[in-house]
Amino acid sequence: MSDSSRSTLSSSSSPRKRESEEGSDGTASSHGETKHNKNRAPDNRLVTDQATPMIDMEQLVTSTNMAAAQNRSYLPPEIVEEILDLLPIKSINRFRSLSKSLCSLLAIKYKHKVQKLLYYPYISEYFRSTYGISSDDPGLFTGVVLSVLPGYSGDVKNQGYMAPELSGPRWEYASVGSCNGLVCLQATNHDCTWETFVWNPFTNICRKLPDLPSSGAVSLLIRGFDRNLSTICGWKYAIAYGFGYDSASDDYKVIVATGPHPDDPRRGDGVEVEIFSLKTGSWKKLENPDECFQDIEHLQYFKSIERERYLHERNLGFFLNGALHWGRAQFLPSGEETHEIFAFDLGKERFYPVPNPPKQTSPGSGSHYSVGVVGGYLSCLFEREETYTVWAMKEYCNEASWVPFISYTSSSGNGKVDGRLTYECNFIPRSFKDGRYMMLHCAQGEIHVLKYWNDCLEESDEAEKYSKKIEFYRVFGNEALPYTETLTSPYAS
Amino acid sequence: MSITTENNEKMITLMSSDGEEFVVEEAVAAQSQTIKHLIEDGCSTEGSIPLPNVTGRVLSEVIQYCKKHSSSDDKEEKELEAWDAEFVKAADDHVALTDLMMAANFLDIKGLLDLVAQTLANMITGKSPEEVRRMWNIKNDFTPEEAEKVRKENQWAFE
Repeated sequence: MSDSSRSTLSSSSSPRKRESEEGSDGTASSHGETKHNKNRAPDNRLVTDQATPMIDMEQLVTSTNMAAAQNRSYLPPEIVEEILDLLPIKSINRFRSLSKSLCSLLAIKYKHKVQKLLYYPYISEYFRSTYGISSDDPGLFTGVVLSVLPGYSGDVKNQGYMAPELSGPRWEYASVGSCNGLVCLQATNHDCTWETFVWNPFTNICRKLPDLPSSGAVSLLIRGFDRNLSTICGWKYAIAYGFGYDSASDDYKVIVATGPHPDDPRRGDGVEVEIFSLKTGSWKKLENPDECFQDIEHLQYFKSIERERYLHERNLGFFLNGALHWGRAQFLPSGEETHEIFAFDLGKERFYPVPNPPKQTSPGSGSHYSVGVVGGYLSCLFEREETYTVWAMKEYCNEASWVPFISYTSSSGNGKVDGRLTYECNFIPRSFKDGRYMMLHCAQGEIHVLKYWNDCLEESDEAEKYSKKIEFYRVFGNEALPYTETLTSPYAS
Repeated sequence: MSITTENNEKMITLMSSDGEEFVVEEAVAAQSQTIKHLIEDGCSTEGSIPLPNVTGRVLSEVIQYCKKHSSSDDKEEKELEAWDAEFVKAADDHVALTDLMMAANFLDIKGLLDLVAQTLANMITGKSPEEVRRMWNIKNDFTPEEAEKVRKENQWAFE
């Protein structure tokens, strides 16, 4: 049997095959027949006692035979998926229509795949006048550029693709948030009209949101630098905004909370909270927004948020645990400084306070404080005399669980890393599996990414409190937003 | 069974689904994680290791790859790349490559799996879903309505 199969094979297969058998002839074939027969099961199928990992043998053998009978090859969906994974993004999406099982496999696969960085050059009037950048350069305002961290060796599949909604010259883009592969962006046009988009950069499906009802004729602009525009920019008065996901309703929401508007007589002195739901496709205003605060003190605190600061610094909310989080520093007449964090539950649609980070000793004037999410923990960054410390709340809403875990000085990187904490980046660069990243938006409009080793957050040993090592990378652009590659649709299904 | 050659290399015997036996150095065979684990579990001491879903034709190609890659530690990477390119080129059509892919997956040989997957990926890049379905015998189990919905969601990918 063995001999006959051999001769059949040698006549039918490629010449290459023979070479590979050197050494196997003679020794092997004499034993072949007996072993072979021993291992035959009654149904004439080869069996083995050994555990065979990964593949359901029976199914595979049957399927292979079936395919062979039809003179076609057969590949199980998991393997087809492996191959599809190597294709450019456009092809991956085209092949979602191959079969149901592949469609769902691809959807799962891209749920939490690779995180990339979306960055876009943002040059405001302020930067233009300060750094002498020509405002006539249309290149600066066209489109959105995608990039990945240095050290990431994968393909940049998205490069070159751009949703038609997003192309065209813009005054600027600003981030509202990034969640499960969807990014929320605001584009300001040259005629001072604004548009808000929810975009999946991976599938390149983009949805333009309707205008914010309360903004009326005013325009949405994030930065306070643009003095000429300040009177017409509605969101300049947004005291808190952000983009996040509510798992209870399986819905994505954009939140804009505005305070009293000195130039708008239509407004009273209350807080207005407007919520856009991807599912309903419309904005709604929260009834009695004051009631969604736990106590009056909290409401007062919310209302007193300093609106003159350009919004990105304090008013962009960070998504964690189904809620958006904002930080706020208050300078007391006594010279003391308090640091607070409040959150908005996207499911219950209520604000709630989060335990404050520990009091910082030796306050310095002009010290820096910002809130973000690092390593999956709610985090804040403090600066004291050019030394920066990042704290994480290891157990959500447990005040005792705040720990410091990264420390650096502003001259640690290439260039001054005096940035505010923004997004965490969970990149998985192939060569840096053990690293985690956080992103800093620095004062000069530079973006730095800090790489740290995350065991400091996982070990309880006090000696390992701080990350052993940190590294900095400079990222191109003035504004950047990390996102995960997923197939989440901006049109909620 | 274990045979020791003059060079003191431990040899093991692999048996394909169609009963063909191959005697190879253990170091070569151990590039397959599946075989490596079987050896570690002592499965190779009693005769040959049966590989019930790899035919002799495919197994000989796999062994050829493993031999090249186990002896090439000190060789130029470029040379190995060129060899790999020739290797998949010789496999010629998608049927042969698919067989190799299945074998590489079952035997868990990462390098070969990546190589063949990339070759197949290049092969299907420009193809329509219908062509790919035919290639791999994938059943289109979408209803016309569902198909339309998926197509609509991914309209841009078809343009």
